[in-house]
Amino acid sequence: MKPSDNGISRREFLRRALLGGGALLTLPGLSRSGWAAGPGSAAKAAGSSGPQVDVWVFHGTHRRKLMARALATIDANGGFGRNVRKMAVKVNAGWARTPETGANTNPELLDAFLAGARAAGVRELVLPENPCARAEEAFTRSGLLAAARKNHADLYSLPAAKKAYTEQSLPQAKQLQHAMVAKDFLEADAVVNIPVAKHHGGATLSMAMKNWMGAVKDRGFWHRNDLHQCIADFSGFLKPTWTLVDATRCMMDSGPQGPADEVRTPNLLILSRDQVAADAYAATLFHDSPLKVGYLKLAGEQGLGVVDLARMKIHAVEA
Amino acid sequence: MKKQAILNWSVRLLVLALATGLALGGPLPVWAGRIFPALSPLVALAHGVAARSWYAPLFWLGPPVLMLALAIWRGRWFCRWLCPTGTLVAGVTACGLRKTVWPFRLNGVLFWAALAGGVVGLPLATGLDPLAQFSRLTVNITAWRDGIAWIPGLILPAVLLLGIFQPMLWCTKLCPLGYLLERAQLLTRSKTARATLNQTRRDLLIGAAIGLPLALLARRGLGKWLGAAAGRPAAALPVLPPGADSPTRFAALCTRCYACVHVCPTQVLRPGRPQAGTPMAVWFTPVLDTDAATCDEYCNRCTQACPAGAIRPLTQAVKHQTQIGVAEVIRSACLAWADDQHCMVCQEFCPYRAIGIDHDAKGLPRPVVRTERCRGCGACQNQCPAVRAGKAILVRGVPVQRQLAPVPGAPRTGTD
Repeated sequence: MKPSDNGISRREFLRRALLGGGALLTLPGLSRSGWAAGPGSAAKAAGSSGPQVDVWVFHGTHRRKLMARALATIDANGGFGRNVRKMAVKVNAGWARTPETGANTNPELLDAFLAGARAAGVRELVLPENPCARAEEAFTRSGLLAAARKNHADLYSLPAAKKAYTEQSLPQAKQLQHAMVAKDFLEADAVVNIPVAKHHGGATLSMAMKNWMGAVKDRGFWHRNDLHQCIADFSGFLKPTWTLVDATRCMMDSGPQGPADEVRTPNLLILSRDQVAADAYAATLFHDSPLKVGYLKLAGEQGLGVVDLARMKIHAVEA
Repeated sequence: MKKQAILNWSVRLLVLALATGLALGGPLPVWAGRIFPALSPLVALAHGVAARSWYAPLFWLGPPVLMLALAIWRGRWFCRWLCPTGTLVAGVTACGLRKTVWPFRLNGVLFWAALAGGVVGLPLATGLDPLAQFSRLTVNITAWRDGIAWIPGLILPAVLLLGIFQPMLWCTKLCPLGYLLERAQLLTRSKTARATLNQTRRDLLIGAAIGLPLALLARRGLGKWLGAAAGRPAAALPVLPPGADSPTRFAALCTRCYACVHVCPTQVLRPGRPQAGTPMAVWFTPVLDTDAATCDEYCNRCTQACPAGAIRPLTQAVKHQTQIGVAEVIRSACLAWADDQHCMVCQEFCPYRAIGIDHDAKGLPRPVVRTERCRGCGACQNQCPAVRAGKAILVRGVPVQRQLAPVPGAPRTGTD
């Protein structure tokens, strides 16, 4: 199936950016319910106060340009931190699916990101993953292994590696009190989460917060003990330096593996320091409200991040 | 040592090393493991009779025909120079005792029993083919954790052990392939033919008298009757490798050489357990253990590895659409159906979109199998996280494997 290009045009994107008045820009037109039904944040926004969280939304059909703009924005906003020698990147490399399916993080985006990280002086790049399909198949078919190798980054299978996990307790968690977590994410100087946004049969949507299921050993526990709460718990525990949600091509059904009947191409890359906010924004590409996603609702209630779009400072950037 | 003996041993050890290398495979192409076992005219003959067809593609029929031609001319020359199993036996004999512990020649009976069994669709003794047995030694490495694999896997080592007492016990008294090669030479040796012909006739009669009823019994359900006598219900059909077609056909044509088990990248293929409630004929055939692993979506290695034609050679695209089993949701054990959890791991992992979503009144997703799409790969069962009442989704074999429609929505399905 040819992915239908039912994303938004450059003109439309800019028009909305102007209409939305910058800070209040939302792009709910991408969801099925359309512009008018939006996240309903405009009304609330008047009364809402408190700290705002920055969310950058890059739009464009050229993935390398998207990532270049995102990297420039990261650089202008504190970069990855001081003296970052080792960086751990969580991509979604879980499925034996080619990039056009939209089941994994896009390899072009990853390639551009890793090259940027190298240019920023990062010495060691590791990409731990607990893939769902056989690692060999998932890593090669997704094109992510090639992208990683090109930049001398180590994309590896956690179950195949020795002593890759470490037992962690999550004192703040409601359900997931203990987990075996990939060591590299805890030991790295900077952690970046680069998931793909897609439909998910069990969790409604899979984006940044859900992506961390590929960083733990026992996923089954999450499924047996309130999946949505476990996802919220873990995102309260592991907070990446930056989150970049790949919404350039989105599976609208049959996720997380696909192939989907409907693949949309919003051509967006969403950047934030708050992974919950990035997810909440990305969720509006699929549903009229982020609260339709169980773990986002829980994350909002439990104060793990910003879910209310009115409390986000959304920067629309045309790349 | 005489020059002849030195030459003989050099050739034998070289061929043994070659056969070992090919059986182990490593970086070699999948069909490497086929080369030695596919040489056997015994397997070709008995299986050709059983399948009522040329059992293998024509190319793979060439070597056994050549072997037979060689035997007509030189008798057991193959045994003395090339057979890797023969070399092992000769090696043991060279450092063993010289006693007689087993004076009876059974090779003729075994050969004719195999052929007679083939007539009724189950060539019993082809599992004893020395080349198949040599290949089978790999299962002692591949599946050593399954205690069950040792039963077929250790027949040859046991025979070799016996060889310590009696020289060349296997080759002279038991090997059905050696018998065939030896008797093939009859055609050119008219002088000794009469006495040997009489012996051959006796072998044939005894072999048929044993082989025919045993094959019929094993095929029609000896195991089933045993199971029924023990009060056990008929077991579910095992999930067989793609290209096996049906349990009956597969049971007949599989020599249990386990070349497929050896090349399986996920190790989902295992020597099957003998189960009361299944016909004895299917015992020890390779089956998929979907609790332990998954039949990979993009793999057709087992279909390229089978030297006996029991697993048909399938292209990746055909294999991708072959249904080897069907999943069934056990609702009482299911996290979604019974415990109100957001799970859907089966739907998540199904590469063929064969699990549909049924939302309850509150929007909780619950899995439903779309049997017309299910290939039986076992990804769902393998990944099912339910523990309270065991796995909540189970894959069962099908009576006949068939081709399904391509997966919808696939941009590129099953091609490489």
